[in-house]
Order: sequence, then C-alpha cells, then structure tokens
Amino acid sequence: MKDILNQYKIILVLCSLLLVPGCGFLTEDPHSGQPEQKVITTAESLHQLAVISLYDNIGSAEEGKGLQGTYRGIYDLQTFASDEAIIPVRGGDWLDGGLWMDLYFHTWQPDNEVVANAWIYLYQFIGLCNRSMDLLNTYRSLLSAWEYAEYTAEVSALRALCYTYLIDLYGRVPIVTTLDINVLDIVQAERSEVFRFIWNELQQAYPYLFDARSNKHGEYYGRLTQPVAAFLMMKLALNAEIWMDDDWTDQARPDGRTIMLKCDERELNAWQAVCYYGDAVRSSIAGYALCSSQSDCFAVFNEDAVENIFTIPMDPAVYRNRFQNLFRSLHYQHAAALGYGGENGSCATLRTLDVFGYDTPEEDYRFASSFYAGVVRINGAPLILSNGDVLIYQAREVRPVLTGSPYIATAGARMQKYAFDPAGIFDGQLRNTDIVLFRYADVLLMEAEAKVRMGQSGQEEFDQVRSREACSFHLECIPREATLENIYYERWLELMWEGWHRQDMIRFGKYSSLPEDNYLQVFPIPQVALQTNTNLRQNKGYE
Amino acid sequence: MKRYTSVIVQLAVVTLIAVSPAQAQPPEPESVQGIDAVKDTLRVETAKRGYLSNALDVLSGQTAGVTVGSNTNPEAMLSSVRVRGNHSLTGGNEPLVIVDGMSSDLRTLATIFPGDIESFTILKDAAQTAQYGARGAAGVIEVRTRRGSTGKFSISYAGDAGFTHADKFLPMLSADEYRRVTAARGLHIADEGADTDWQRVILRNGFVQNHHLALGGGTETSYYRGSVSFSQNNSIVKEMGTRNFTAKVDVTQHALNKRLTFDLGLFGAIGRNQYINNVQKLFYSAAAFNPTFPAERNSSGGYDGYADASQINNPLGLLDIQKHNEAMHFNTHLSMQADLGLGLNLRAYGSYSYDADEDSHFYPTYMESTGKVYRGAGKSNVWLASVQLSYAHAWADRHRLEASLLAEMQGRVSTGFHTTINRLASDAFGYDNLSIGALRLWEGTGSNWEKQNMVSLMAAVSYTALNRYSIGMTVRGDASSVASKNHKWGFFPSVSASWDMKREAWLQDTEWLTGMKLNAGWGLSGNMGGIAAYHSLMLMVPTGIIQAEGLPDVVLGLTRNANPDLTWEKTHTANVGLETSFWHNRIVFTADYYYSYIFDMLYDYTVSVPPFLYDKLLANLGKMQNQGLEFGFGIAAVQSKDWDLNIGFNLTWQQNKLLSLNGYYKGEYLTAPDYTPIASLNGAGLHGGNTDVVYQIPGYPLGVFYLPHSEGLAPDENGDFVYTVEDLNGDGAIDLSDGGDRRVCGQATPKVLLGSNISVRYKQFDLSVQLNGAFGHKIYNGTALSYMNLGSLPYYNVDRRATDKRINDLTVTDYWLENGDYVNIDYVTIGWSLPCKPEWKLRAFRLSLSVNNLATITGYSGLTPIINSTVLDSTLGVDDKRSYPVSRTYSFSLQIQL
Repeated sequence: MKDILNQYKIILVLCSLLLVPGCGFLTEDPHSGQPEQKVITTAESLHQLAVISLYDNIGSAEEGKGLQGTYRGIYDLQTFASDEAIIPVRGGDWLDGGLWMDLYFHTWQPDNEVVANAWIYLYQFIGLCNRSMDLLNTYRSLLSAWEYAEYTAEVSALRALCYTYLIDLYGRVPIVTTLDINVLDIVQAERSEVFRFIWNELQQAYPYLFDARSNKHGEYYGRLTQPVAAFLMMKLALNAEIWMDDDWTDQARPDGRTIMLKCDERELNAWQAVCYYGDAVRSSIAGYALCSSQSDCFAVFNEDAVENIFTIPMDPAVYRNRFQNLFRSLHYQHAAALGYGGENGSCATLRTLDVFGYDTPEEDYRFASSFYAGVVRINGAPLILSNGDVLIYQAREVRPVLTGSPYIATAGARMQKYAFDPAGIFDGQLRNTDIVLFRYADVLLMEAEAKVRMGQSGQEEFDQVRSREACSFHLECIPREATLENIYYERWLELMWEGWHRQDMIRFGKYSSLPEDNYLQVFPIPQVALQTNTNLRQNKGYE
Repeated sequence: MKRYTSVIVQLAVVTLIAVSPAQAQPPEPESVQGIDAVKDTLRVETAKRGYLSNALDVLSGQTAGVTVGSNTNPEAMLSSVRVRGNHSLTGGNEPLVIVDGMSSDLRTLATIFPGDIESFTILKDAAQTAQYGARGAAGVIEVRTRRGSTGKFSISYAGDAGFTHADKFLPMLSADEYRRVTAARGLHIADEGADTDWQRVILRNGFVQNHHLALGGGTETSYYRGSVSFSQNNSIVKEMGTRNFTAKVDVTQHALNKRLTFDLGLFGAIGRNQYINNVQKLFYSAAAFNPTFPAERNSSGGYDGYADASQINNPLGLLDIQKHNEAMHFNTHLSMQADLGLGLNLRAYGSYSYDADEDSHFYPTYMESTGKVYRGAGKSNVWLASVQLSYAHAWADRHRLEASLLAEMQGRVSTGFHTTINRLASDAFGYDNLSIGALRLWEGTGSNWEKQNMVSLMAAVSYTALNRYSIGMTVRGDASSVASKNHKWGFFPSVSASWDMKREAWLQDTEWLTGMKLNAGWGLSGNMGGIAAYHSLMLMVPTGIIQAEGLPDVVLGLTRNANPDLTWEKTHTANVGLETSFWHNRIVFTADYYYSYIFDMLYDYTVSVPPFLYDKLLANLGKMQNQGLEFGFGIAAVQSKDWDLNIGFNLTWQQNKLLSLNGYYKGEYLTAPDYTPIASLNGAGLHGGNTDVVYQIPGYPLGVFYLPHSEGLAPDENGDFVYTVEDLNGDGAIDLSDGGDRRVCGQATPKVLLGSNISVRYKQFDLSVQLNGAFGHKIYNGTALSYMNLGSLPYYNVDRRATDKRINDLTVTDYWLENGDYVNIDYVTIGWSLPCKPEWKLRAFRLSLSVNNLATITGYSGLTPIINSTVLDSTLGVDDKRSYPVSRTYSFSLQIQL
C-alpha cells in the first residue's frame, strides 16, 4: 500500500510538471524573424531599417510592383495607355482577358488589374515610408539632430515621389502620413491639395538631401539625392497645369504662369520653377551632361553615364529587381538566339513608326537604336525560324488584334534601346543595365518646353538634345524649330520606351480626342480600394 | 465512447493469423469473414488486397466519409486524404494523424509499411474529434502499429512484385497527320523529319515490388516484434519513382504480476523519391509537342526545344529535370502503464520523432536559361509527454463508470536551409557539386527556424446504466504557442449518448436481430491548420537586397499584416447513428448522419491599403457547413465449408456549403469577393482573361463550376467553328467576366461516394474485388478544350478528332463541362492458400495475383474521371492536360509464415 501511495506522489509530481509549464512554454519564440526592437539597436541599424530599406521598393521582382521593370504596374499604365506602344493580341497570346486592349483603347474599368496593382504598390510604399517615420520618431534618441533631419527628409522625399505618381495616375487621392489611422478616417484630397502637399514636402526635404550622383556606384547609388528631387520638382512644375486642376473633365485648366510655387526662398511661377530646378540639376556638384550618344545611357554598364540621374540599380549577381520590358517584346526565337527568353509581345504603334519616319529618308537616327524592325540579324546573319523562314519583324503590319494575320507572330517593331547583356540571366530579366528612370536629356527638354510656354525661346536646350554630338554624323538629323509641337515629338523620339509618353500626351492635349473623354486623363479609383474603403469616391466619368 | 462509433480498418496483409483465415483461425461464432461485424466496427481484411503503393492506399474506398486521391501521382497523393470533405479555406483540411499516440502527418504515415499497421481508426464523429481539441476538426486517423504478442517464435515473409503498363492515351495527330493537317490549313511547320509519339516515348513499363520480413516471439511477460521492409515503385514515367526502406522494433515487458507494463517502440524509415518536376507541363508537352522532332539528344547532348511553343518543351528534356527527395523519419516511444488497483490506471507516455528531408533539384542548361540547381534540407524534432489517469468501476453487473484525466505537452522545432545556384558551367555534374554554378542569387539561399508548443488537458467521464444507456462527456483544453496572445487557450467540450436497444427486454427475444444500437453526440473541435507560427506577430525578416553606402546590403522588412486576434477555426458537430446486425451478423447495417457548423473560419481578406501595409489580412470571420449521411452494409451471403461469399459496401452522401465570409474586424467591414476563382485553365492561349472555371461562392458548396453557357458550335468567317455563348443576363451583350454571363452549373466534389468489396472463397481459392465510385459531380475537360482547338496549330499538336469538329476557339464555356460519375474497379485479387496442418513447421502459405485499376466505367470523355475532385487547390475539378496515361498494375504476391 505504501508503494501505491508513493506512486500517487509520482503522479502528482508529473501532473504538476505538466500543469505548470510556465508562461514561457506558450510564448512565441521567433528566431528567423525578429521584432523591430531587437533589430534596431544603433543609429546605423535604424538608418538601415528606416531609410535604406525603402529603396528595395523602387524596382521589384514582383508583378505589379516597382516604378519600372515588371509587368502590370505603373510603367504599363504610362506606356500602353499612350499611343507610343501596344501589346497586340496574337491569337491566344496576350489575350489576357482584354487587358492590353483595354489599355490601348482606353476602355479600362475600375476593376482593371493594372490600375489596382499600381494603387496598392504606391500606397504600400507610402505605408512603409510612414512606418519609417514612426521608427525614426520612436528611436529618435539614437540619432543626432542632424541625422534625424536628414533621415526624415529622405523618407518624406520618397513618399513625395509616390504621391507624384498617384496624382498623375489617379487625380484625387487620400493623403496619409501615418500608419496609426483607421480606415474610416481616410478620405481623398483634391488634386491641387495633393500637389501642394507634395511640393511642400519636397521643399522641406530638399536642403537635407545630399547633392550627389544617384546613378553611380558608391554611397548614394540608387538613392533619392538632391538632383533627383530637383528633377521630380521639374516634373511637378511642368505638369502643374494638369495636376493643379481639380476638375480635369472641363475644358479649362489653370495657367502655369499664374501657378506660384515656393522654390527655396523665392516664389516662382510653374515655368520659372521648371527652369529654376533645371539650373539646380545643372549646377549640382555631381555634374550632369548629355552623353555623347543616347545609347551610352542604356549601355550594359551605365553607372558612369553622366546623363542618368535616377536609376533602378541592376546586377544579376546581387539584385532581385527584374527588367521584363525587353523579355516581353522579343519574338521567342529572337530571344532564344540571344540566350534569353522572349514572350513576343510589345511593339511600336503605327503612330510611333510615323513619328520616327520609319523606312523613309527622314528616319530619325534614334529609330535603329530604339527598335528591332525588318530582318533580324544575329552577328550579321539573318535569323532563320524553325519553319525555315527568316525572322522579319513586319513593323507596319501591327494591328490591335493580329489573330488570323499571317504576321501574327512577327508583326510590330520590337523594343531595343537597352543594350544586349550577354551576362543576363533568368531569360535576360536579371541583367547589368540599370533601368533608367530620370535622365538629363529630359531636363533639357523640360526646360525648353517651359521656356516656350513662358513665351521665351527653348531652342538652345532643344538643339542640345536633338543634335547631340553623335548626331552630326547622321544625315537624318534635320534641325527643327523648338515649337511646342516639335518639343512634343522630340520627347517622343528621345524618350521612347521610358514611360513618359502618357504624361506628355495629356499635357499637350493629345490624350483624348473628344472633350467628353477628358475624364480618361486619370485612371479610375480601383474597385478594390472603393470596396475596402467606403469613404473613397470614384473619379468623375467612372461612377 | 470512441469504440462505439469508430470505424476500424484492420489490416492483415501479413497478419500471421489472417494469412489463411479459414484454416488458421476457427471463425468466431458471431463473426463473418471479410466483413467482420464485431460490435460497431467494420473490419476489412486486406490479405486479399491488390498491390498497395503505400499505407494511404489502404484507406481508399474502405470507409464511408474518407476519400483518398488517385495514387498515380505519388506526390499529390500525400496531401489528398480527406475525412468528411473540406473544413477550411486556408489549410487544415488534412486529418490529424496519430501514430501510436504520437501526432504525425500523412507523409509519415505513408512511409509505414502497410504490413506493420494493425489498425486504422478513423475518428469523425463529434465526440471523437472533440477529444483532439484544437486539432481534431478535420478528422483524426489513429494508427496502431503491430507489436509483439505472447507465443513462440515466428517469422514471416510477405512480398509482391509486378509491373505497370499504360494502355490509354490521348489520340493526338501522328507526325504524318500533323504534316497533312497543317499543310491543308496553309501553315508552315518546323519539320525535323521524324515521327515521334511523345506520349509513349516518355513512358516505360513500371515496376513495383514490396518485401517485408517480420519476426517475433516471447514469453508470457515479455515479447518483441521486429520487421524490415523494402518497397520500390518505378513509375510508368521514365526516371520517376519512389523507394522506401523501414525498420521497426517493439518490445513489451510486464512486471509486478502484470500490474506494470512497459512498451518500447522504435521505427525508422528512409524514402527516396524521384518526382516529376511539373506534372502538367510534362503531360501537356507529351501530347502537344511537335511530333516531327526526333526523340533523341542533339549534338550538344541536350534536347531541342521549340521556342514558338513557349508553354511546352521537349518531353525528354523535361525528364532530364531532376526533382529528388530523400526523407528520413525516426520515432521512438516509451509507455508505462500501471494498474494501481481500485480501478485506477496510470499511463505515462513519452515520444520523440525526428524527421529530415532533403530536396535536390537539377535543371540542365538546355531546359532552364543558364541552368539551375537547388538543394534544401529541413529537419523537425517533435517530442511529446503525457500522463493519463483513468478510473473504471463496474457494479451490480449492470453499471459502469469510466473517467480519465489527461495532461499532455508537445514541442516541435523545425529548421531548414536551402540554396540555389545558377549559370552552370556544365550539365554533367547534376546537383552533386554546387561549385559548378557561377551565381548564387541572394534570394536563392535562406534558412528558417520555427517552434510550436502545445499544452493540453482533458477530462472525460462516461457512465453506462443497465448495460444499455450510456452517456459520455469530455472537455479538452488546448493551448498553443502559435495562437495569438489573447487567444492562447481554447476549450472543446463534447457530449455523447448511446442506447443499446437490443438489450431491452422487448427486443431480447427477437432471434433475427443480433444487435441494434442508437447513438448521438455533439462536440466542439478546432482546426489549427490555417495558422503558422508567428502569424500573429509583426516580425522583421530579410526581404531584399540593395546597395547602400557602396556595398550590397540586405533589407529587413515586414511581409504581411499581423492580426493580433488570430485564433483557430472551430467546428460544432452533431451526429446521430444507428447500428444494426441481423441473423448472427450475417447482415450488418449502419447509418450515420452528421451536421457540422464551422465558424471563426480563416480567410485571407482583401483590406484597404492604406491604412494597412499589405492588401491581405488573415482573419477569423468565415462560416461554413457540412452535412452528410453515411451507410455501411455488409452481407455474408454464403457461408459454408467450401464456399464463402461476402459483400460489403459503404455509401456516403455529403454536402458542403460556404455560408458567409463577411464580418467586422476592428470596426472595418471585411468581405470576400462574390466570386473567387479556385481553379483555372492554363496553357497556350489561356493566360489570364476569363479562364477561371471552379469558384468559391458564398451560398454554394466550395468548388462550384461558374461558367458561361454554350449551346454548341457556330461557324466563324474562316469556315471553322466557335463556341456560341448565351446572353444569360439578357442585357444584349456578352460579358464573360465574373458577374456577367455566367452561371453556377454543378459542383466539383462528388455528392455521393461508394466503396464496395466483394469476396468469394471456394475451398483454398479466394477472389476479392474492390469497387470505388463517385457520383454527382462534374469535371471540366480542359484537356479537350485545348487539344480540340485547331487554332493551336502549328506550334501545338492537336487531337485527331479536332479535324472533324474544326473548332478554332478557346473560350471557356460549359461546352466541355461533363458528368464526372464513375465506378472504378480498384483491384481484383485471386489467391490460393495452402491448408497448413498444425503439426507442420509451415504455418501459412499463400500465393495471389492482382490487377490494380482494372477498369473504369464512366461517361466522361477524357482520359480518366479520376482527377482531383477533393483537394481545394488550383486543380480541383479541372482535367487540364495533366492526367497520366491510364495504366494497370499486374502483381504477384507470396506470403509465408514459419
């Protein structure tokens, strides 16, 4: 009996061991992920986490994310909703539920996937900036006053970059500057209000940003430095007539000469502001100039191109950022012959061929470097397809729907512009060439345009771009007068495939042929945003 | 209460006794061989089963409410077992597997040699699943492995060997027909001059074998059993197959006059698997790849692709992609059971499992740009300790009280790491030397560490009055580290009752009625499958790499919204059941009805960005219901000295309905879209757009077909035909998108499931046939949609019949929606048992021949209706160019016992 009693004791001990496991046993114990307070211990780690980390969002490996380089995001809205390029339907290829046709024909609906992707990406980026602001405030004691000012400036400038894309694409959008907010408190601001917000943010941040090259290897590689912010303010000022217009569906728009913007200590009108920040870019100690040839900007290793201002750093051995623009354009066998993959998609519109004077005596010298057209040659020899035919890109055979066409797979001039990088991997999506976002040629063209709009001559800046050094060897480089019309076309020729054309079309009044289509200048507020935040109101024309 | 309502599948593949049941073991007076209606269990002897590829195969068609996916794709099969349908949208649909008291999973179960398993107990009723608390909602499979028994030494061998042969293929155009048809349509083809039947080129005759050796013996107070097994299954697809080796030892020791019992078990398994890298791509390529290409390597040792057919590749090249897996499992457990007297019993149990998995993938340079190698390893350590005190007391010969208390702790640590290399200098090294790659991308390398702990307490009490009225109650409390801070503990009660009517005076004298019992229960159980460790926390993880300050720098970030209120899904289940048997169990009939209501169901909601950082939030707001009727029927039609005829079948009717996904989270109304696609078609011409087929729609069962309606074909301007599409909403325009001209037109999961076994014995010969069937569901024949489209030419080959129909259209309509009903002859086995005399050394000897997958009776026009009709994933209900050619396995087996 005593034995049994002893056994009971054992049971009791065992039970109590099990019953009192202590709180620790049921507490989560993460190792391969860590709460922020474990990671942020020094000023460096805070800088790393709150500021540097944000740059991972400029480019992307994920569909719909990044400013450029991946599918179905901002770049596709800017490019395929313009008349610069098209992804035609090629039988079953690129049908995609009419997605690309909706962009081309401006028949998108609020449930459009790309429209939603860009919204989510930008607000996610903004949310991360807001979180960085929270972190910088929470752990402010780790920082000196100057570090705090610098870091918050860089974060707010990045946030302003996102808002710039938002007012361009969606017009009326909510201004959100904190994470600690309930969805019920998130409402849209007028477009001009958002514009003022962005401008003020950039004005406040600008003095604390570094005056350094961003496109070059080194401490500021890929960062939002002063010249980048100056470029951004030029874009804002240049488009101020559009982006300060709270009702873009009427015929009226504000006059750039009366839109006053604070530039450092001065009040300037929009066009003066463009020139003011053009000068700022030029006078940067970074030293920007046109490259001797446009193709230098897009060379395999373009980090030293003196023309590039802001890029998405690429290096197949280091970064994840994808560049799919070439990949999706080239014919399967063309790409295969280069050691890449191809998806036989995007190509130049007929309008673009006309603007470049394709296959005419006046063909612009930039056509050959911007496109593949006609017989495709690999190392000089024509490329033979597996059915025995020579691969010929039939530039003029492009149609929105190529199904049933004998040129279903070969119609359209394909994207080139970026140099062929033999070291590219993942079908050429990971490559060395940095993706060019902002460059100096655009600075000059913006200045030329602002001057002409002010009633001054922009010929000098215009000629610099049109007759850059390399041009003197090209007979096709016929001088043109710097009229608004010619500036519009020069931008097209120079900035083809760079994601600016939709903005230019809107600013030059060429985006909608009918006044009642003016509402199409902005995309609808995405269906998913309206569904999840009932405060949001749909843009005019899409209700 | 478990044993009253559980269905036990008893295995006797190499059962020493059951090898020759008629001779070795005199039939108990109340039992029927084959369908043994002892009390409330259906025992199915599997000595007469066909070839078993693994232990999961055993469950197929044997019990009502349990479904097991097709065994042609071994990888997919590992996650396909379902008990009473689907219970969750986010995971946690796999039943909990308990092997000898230790929580385990289907993968581990599949490594156990069927002959080492004594019984499967499927727990599905309310009171049973509630006993497993937070983990029981998706059903529980309790597995008891064989251990020793008293008696003299015995040794047994069981083995089988056979081959698998494919004999049904898709009728694609031959090379000559392809040349003719493309020429007639004015299409240029790449003609390499050969004539290749790619579907056959990638296949071989499969080879299967199983060998199992078991020995055991002992005395009254100590006994042991040990076994080793080896299984090999070389699939019909070249290069692919699985191998498994196991070893198992169990020792039982009694002490103190059997008042103390120790059980020690050791089990180890090593499996080597060679999987198809991408099943759909392989079979799609085999059907549609250019038949004029030769089936041989090119001059550089690779295989030529066909760049224009971007969705497929050279089928032989695809076979060169290696996806190898090596899995090691080790378990040991020790239990001590003490009879403390006074009806008290104490059991202490400890168990430890170690799992190691290594994946090695190799993509040659001619199959993936610049080539790629992936190596990854994962390990998990699980320990469990429990103490159970039980009390049983019977009095006055008519009353019985049982009670128990259980305390249990469990810990799991999982770790893993992986790396990927690119730009291979040579294809000759396979995955064996990682230095062959020039690039190691940042995102290609990583490691992880994860811990999950659980504490459980359970109390159970049951009381039987007058030998016929029973009532039982359990309450289990579970606490898990993965549940959010505010919801650590969950309590799961259950109540059950049963009434043994046969013992009532008014039935006692009814000769023909052998037994009749009514039972009912209610219980609450949980489901943790949808929550992973740390899901409720905001954690920083490496998310990318950038260059800062001149050097590459890793970026830390968040990856999802954290929901601090995350908790387990919960299920209320109620059931009633009737068990009857007649004429001394010559006829057995059981019927069960259950209803379960799932709430706090997890769903990944789309939320507003801002204020959220990410557009998805996992939250507990959904509701779903399941109900079903299950019948079991067994008849021993003939029982004589020379003849036996037994027929058994089980029939399940089940219905699922997604009730709602809406609710409030922190004042914000969250709602799921009206139409959420589950499964879509893909392949050439089917990228995006309106190619979704199977949907999740609140108010309907999970997995309904929601499609535009086609009345048939109409000529197009080129003399081909297109599918007509009805304007279902009558707005004068055709809108193929969700919410437009579409309608719900059937469900992907079967409404009725049938499993049936017929066994006949004539003297020493026996014959056993297993039939499985599924009814009331539909299948989308996406394979036909793709291969009947002449527009796929010239880059993709088409079905021979396409030239008659002349369809040039890929619009997804209900034109190719077909009835999925089928009856499948799962196996037929013919055996002969030597009538061993007691004085012989040889105790049992049996030979048998089996054919697995003999035939399928169906109206479905595709290769086979046996596709994924159960698992909620992107293949549910859709036959889309991924079915294996239909094959049969012929095997011979031998069983000897000394």
